[in-house]
Amino acid sequence: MAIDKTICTPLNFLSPIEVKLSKSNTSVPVVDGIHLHSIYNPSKEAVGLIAKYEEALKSQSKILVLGLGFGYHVWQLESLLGRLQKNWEIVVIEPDVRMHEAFKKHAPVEFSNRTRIVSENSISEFYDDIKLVRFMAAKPLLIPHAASFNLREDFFKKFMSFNASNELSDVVSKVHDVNLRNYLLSLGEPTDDFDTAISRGKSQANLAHQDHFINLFKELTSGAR
Amino acid sequence: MNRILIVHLKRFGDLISAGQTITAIKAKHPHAEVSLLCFEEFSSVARLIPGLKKTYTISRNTLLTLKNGKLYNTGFALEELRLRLMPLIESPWDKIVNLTNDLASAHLCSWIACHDLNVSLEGISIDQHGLAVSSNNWASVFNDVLPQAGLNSPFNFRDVWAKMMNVSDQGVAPLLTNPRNEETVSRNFQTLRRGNIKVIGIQATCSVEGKGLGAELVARLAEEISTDGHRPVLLIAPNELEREFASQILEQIEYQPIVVESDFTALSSVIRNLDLLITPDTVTKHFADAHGTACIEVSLGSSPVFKQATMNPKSVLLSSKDRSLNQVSADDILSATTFSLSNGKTKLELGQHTTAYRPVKIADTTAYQVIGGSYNQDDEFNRHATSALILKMDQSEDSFVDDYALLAIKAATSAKSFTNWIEQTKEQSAMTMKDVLHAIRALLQMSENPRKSAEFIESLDRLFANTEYLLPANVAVHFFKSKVESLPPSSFQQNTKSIEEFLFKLKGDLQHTMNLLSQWHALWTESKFESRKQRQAELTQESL
Repeated sequence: MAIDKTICTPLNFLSPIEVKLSKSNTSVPVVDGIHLHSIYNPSKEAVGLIAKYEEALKSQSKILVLGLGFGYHVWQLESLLGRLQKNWEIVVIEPDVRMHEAFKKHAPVEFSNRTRIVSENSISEFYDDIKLVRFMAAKPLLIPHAASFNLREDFFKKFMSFNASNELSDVVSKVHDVNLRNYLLSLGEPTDDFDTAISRGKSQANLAHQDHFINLFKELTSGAR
Repeated sequence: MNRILIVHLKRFGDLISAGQTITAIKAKHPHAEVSLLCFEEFSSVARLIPGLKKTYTISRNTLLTLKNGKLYNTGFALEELRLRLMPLIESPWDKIVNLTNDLASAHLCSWIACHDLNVSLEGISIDQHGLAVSSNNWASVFNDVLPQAGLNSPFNFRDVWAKMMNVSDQGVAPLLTNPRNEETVSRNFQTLRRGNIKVIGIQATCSVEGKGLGAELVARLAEEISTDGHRPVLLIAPNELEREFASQILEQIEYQPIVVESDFTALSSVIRNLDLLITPDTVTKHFADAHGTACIEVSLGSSPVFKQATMNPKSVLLSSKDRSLNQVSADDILSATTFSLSNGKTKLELGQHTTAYRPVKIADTTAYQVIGGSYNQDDEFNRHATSALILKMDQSEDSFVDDYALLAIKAATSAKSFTNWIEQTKEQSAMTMKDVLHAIRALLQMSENPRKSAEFIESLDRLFANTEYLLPANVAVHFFKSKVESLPPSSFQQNTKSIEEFLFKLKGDLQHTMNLLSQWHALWTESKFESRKQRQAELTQESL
């Protein structure tokens, strides 16, 4: 499968981020003339945005928010989750590192330490972040921040349809154990497809612990749940 | 024996069932630390197993998402598995017990054993040649024989595990309960239970399609049970889907039964305090067995019937004779309920498609005696004879052979059906014996002239062709095949010598089969003579 090179391309967002004051005297970021929150009352707007998810939040404690803006919606989400769930966790994906910096500078709201904001320089870097990967593998509830999502639609679409490389060398790059790495690399060429390489495997003579491990992995990850 | 690791990579019901074996292992080794490795998705029931030191888990869902989700690099899945397993090799185990018979658990056990050559493995593992290795005959029954048995399994899994581990799980400690739940449930059920009024649980749902009882049937059961003066209690899990199912049932009936919504911890107390449970083949029946609560198990759809059926002698197992019809009627279940509550004193009245069985204990194992309904007699004879033969291969003392014979004889509806089966099975055994003798001859000829190896291989193929199904006439061949397939790739002479040894053992086992059939025939003649004598005595008494 051909890999889309743009996923490794640095995310360069050039339009400047302006910061305006809302009628309720709180900061609102503006990009290309688009206000990312209500210019009247961002907090009140956030209440309405998050209220739609109240039912879903009763059974979901992990939330993935697409777009930070200046975080009024996240702040409101924290408040609602605090009432509905004992343990909850929020991860906010913000493609524009400068937005993250501007948010920290203006700090219109403060997040709890259960909320994590992730900004990276390229799409593939997001998927190199093991903490984020584990969080996403837990199938969190997705809440897009409409204004941020529309502004960076191209990024978010590519983010959600990312195709990780399955080349042997790329897979091995995520394995920490040196012996396992060397064993896997001995199964084929670095550019070989990982699944093909492990299916080919080694001859069945003299199975050692790495062979049992990889056979176990194959068995556990094949078939239905 | 200080540290024992039990590996069990199956679902809720199997894990609860294995819990009894684990408790028996702990009882046999009271000073040992017994730990468990299971899937995280099903680990919530592990905390109910008494005496476990620690539960290690593998999250299969996370592994599958990381491996099969296009967003993620497979390396993260490898890391996830590696990190989960590392604690297992950080300190040595004395024994690893594999209570599952799939490749994953077999490789896992072998992987741990590769890190510690002193550990002993029980159950199935994979050797250095990639061959499945059974730790003893019962492990082979578990891995090689039961999978061929289809719906007519000669043993329940739990009995095979107990035999494999040389423990007895009869009378072991029940599942744990939470004292607060226990007190509340006991008090509440006590207020319902007055005089002869019994509290009867009905498991309303089943996660596997085709195995559940259905809303209409459950509604009818609840209504009829209450009409009989007892208190039906609908059991559901705490989720929207099951609440919806319960409301569908309540909408259909005037009498509103109590609906008990409980997680597994609370369910343990609920089941313990019931007088009887009506359940499809689902996790609740294993809870009932673990607490000694009698149940009416309705085995439908893909349920493996005897392999995992209730083992409590006070229970009744109802099965659809024709699995394609896949139904047991409310009347059948109600009749079995009355039968069970009266300790078998009432008559079982069953429809033409339903069969009722009762678990009976023979030689520390559970046999299923047909007690009503219609059934295939040959299936009954074959199952009991196969059980007796497998036990015979394992034990020198064989008083149980007669006990199994009596179960088979009781299942016979005519002299012809039983004697026909005996003749037919003798004939099949004689054919198998012929194949064995042919293979021995071919092997001896090959030893003298290696160019005759093709004929020997052909004779083995012919023998192995006998293992498509599990029958008394071929049960010994299943063991033989398993041993041959586990032979390591060593020298030709060495393997020839081993196969020769196996063939002579097979010949002896087949002779046991012939002897058993003759013994059963004699018992049949004797039982007919006895019953004729009894009938004559009754007639004499009547005429006086």
